[in-house]
Amino acid sequence: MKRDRREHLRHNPFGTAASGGAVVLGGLGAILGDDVSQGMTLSLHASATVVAHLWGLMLATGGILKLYGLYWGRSTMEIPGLWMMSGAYFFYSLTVAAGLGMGGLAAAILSAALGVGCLIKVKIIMRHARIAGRQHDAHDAHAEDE
Amino acid sequence: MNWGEVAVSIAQVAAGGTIVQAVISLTRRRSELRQLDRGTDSVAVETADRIVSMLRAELEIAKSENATLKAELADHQRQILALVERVSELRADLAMAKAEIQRLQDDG
Repeated sequence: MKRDRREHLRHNPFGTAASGGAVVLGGLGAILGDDVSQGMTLSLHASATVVAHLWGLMLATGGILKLYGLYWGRSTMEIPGLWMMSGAYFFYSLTVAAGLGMGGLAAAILSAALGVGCLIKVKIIMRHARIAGRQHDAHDAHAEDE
Repeated sequence: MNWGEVAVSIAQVAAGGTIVQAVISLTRRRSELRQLDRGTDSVAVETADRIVSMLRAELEIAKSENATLKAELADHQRQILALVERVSELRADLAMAKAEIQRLQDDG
């Protein structure tokens, strides 16, 4: 089983890093609120604290679901995790860009790229799932014929 | 409404949309995803099975080769022993023949 995990890491270094980063940043956001991001404080004004807590929770949950799904082979957990991660990354990207303008460009571009990566991964997994579902249906039909 | 507020609104819609998508993927695509996981598991098991049976077949071949070689070795050892025996017999004959020659020369 341990060897299996190492194989997963070998095949998904970026997925692992993106979700590990999401867990760390999301956890900090959930605990500290808008202290983790000046961009959020500036762009969200009065609601910044509450929204940052929720955002941190969403990002951390997404990261945990993605990691669990990836390393324990549960794509029913991985897909929701990836959706939540991409949403949280896009949210961070846009709020930081809105709050800091050009000063938040680096963070905005990096997190937007991570969000796009999550969406692409969702697309890839869903395509595999559709193929698997179709094969299963064909298999069932074949079994009924016999 | 300046562009910053627009961006924040878009961000909120995006975050909400992805949460909705996460729920949809769990409710509507669940069976397909489960099928994918099961397929991945069974592929891993099948691959492991195939490797084990391949190794077992190789082990059987190696064992039978080993047995053949052992039999050949025993055969060769038997042949060597037979040859050694033959050599000592011939040596004894040679000694007898030499003694006979000596006796005849002495007589002559």
